[in-house]
Amino acid sequence: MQPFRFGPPARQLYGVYHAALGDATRASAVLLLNPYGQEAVRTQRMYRVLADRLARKGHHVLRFDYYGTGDAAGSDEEGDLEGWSQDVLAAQHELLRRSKCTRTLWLGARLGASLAVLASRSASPPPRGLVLWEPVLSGEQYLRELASSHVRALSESYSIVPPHLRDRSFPGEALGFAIGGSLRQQLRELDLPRQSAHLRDLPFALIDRPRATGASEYAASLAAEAHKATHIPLEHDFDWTSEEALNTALVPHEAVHLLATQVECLP
Amino acid sequence: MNEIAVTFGPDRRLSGTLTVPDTEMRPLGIVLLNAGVIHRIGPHRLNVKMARRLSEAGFASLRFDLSGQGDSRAADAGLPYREQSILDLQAAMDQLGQSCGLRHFAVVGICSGADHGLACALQDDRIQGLWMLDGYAYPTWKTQALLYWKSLARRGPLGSVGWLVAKAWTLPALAAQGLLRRRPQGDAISYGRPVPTVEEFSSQLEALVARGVRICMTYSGSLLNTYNYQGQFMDVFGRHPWAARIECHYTPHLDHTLTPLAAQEEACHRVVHWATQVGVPTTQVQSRRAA
Repeated sequence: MQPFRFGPPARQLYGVYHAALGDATRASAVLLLNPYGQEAVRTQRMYRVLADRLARKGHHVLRFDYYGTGDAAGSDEEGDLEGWSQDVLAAQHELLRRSKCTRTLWLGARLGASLAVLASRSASPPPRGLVLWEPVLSGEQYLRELASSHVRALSESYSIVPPHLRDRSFPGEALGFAIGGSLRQQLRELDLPRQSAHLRDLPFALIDRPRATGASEYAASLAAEAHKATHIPLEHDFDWTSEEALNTALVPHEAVHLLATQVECLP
Repeated sequence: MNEIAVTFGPDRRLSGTLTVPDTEMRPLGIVLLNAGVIHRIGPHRLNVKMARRLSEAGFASLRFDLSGQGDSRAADAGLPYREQSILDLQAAMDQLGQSCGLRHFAVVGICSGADHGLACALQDDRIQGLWMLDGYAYPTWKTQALLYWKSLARRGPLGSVGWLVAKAWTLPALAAQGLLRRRPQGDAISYGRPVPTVEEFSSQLEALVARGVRICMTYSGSLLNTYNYQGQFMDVFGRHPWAARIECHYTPHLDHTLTPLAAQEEACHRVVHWATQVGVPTTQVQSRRAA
């Protein structure tokens, strides 16, 4: 596990490289893409466990923080989808350089999965496959989810929510993170099914909860055109935004196992 | 401002980020660490935001992950959690000291991070300042009374009647189980943290104050059961001469993890202001560690 900073001086990113253990001659490279905000905080441990597990299976793995998130440079407000898509490409470049592999596989959760789809349009080389866990399909709906999660977080965190925080919206923030105007606008325009035409040429696995809104339709529409699409339902009680690590698993074993398996299974 | 990823400690297993100011550096380094299970960026990235604000004020800082947390590898020694945390904090001070030429430090900790900072300060006299959000709290009879009063006020008249009826309904069962005695110190918000007795905590604070450590204790609005009014700290410890030398704030508009951006901004402001008031010995005597 090697933590480091990379990227141009004006856009320094933070990454952790997990070199393949054992016989690295069969190694492939896997890029892990974070979800957004509190969801990224919530999944940090799971990604570390997943990366360790993949490294033990002979994969080189890079997990990293986009600009304006985590331990990377930049403020919350400076993060946006276009910039983060470029960060994905920069991270792939770094992973290829370190691993000496020729192709990468991308695995993303929530908005990280959406970024995998968006960034793969202009990736060179393109990823050899995508593993998408509960991608954000509609940015508009995601903004609504963030808003309601924010209100819920306040009610859970305060013993008594102060009057000035009750019954009001929080357009510039979500669960403790500032949302810049650019990101908000890009999320409003995010409609992943309409931005996924290029996936017909890409093997991918879509993991979602059974009966998740739009997921089956998304998978079906892609599968109609793509011959290498897999849709896997995963029932779990992992709360993406919870600050309380008390009631749901921090590292849900079944999810880690399934994600690692999909990395192994993709051609 | 420069941010540098560093690995340090035994076998370089600890991972952190140095934040070094562009301006002239103050002679006090700030150490930031995990809050509970959250990795070193802190709840809502607060440690990152705080480190940058401190940097603007001339403070170098190191935010880092304790052994086994975040991006730090687990320790091999098999020491108890608290002992290992103290060693990790000392390694962090060593690293910050070597990188920036500093000999004196302050620890900014939230929740369990506050506990670790306190424990380390008791063993390492390089620590000149402790800023603790939701550290150990000791309820009084007034805390209990206010807990019920605020609970009733929050529920309104009808809700209060229902709540009181429900409470009354459970009293016989609680009495049968012997659960109506005084609440044990510490509560669920401590996330299972073991809480020292009032006497132990008192003697710890006394020792630190005697050594000249500047201590700021801030209690959020998330501790209704254990800390819920201005002046509670003095009600518990006010009879001791050293208590008046400890800065203590009750901030019900801030929550335990500083969720609103305004709360984060205020916390950053408070920490920077406090850090500028932490005294550093002018004699550049090589610091010594307690055995």
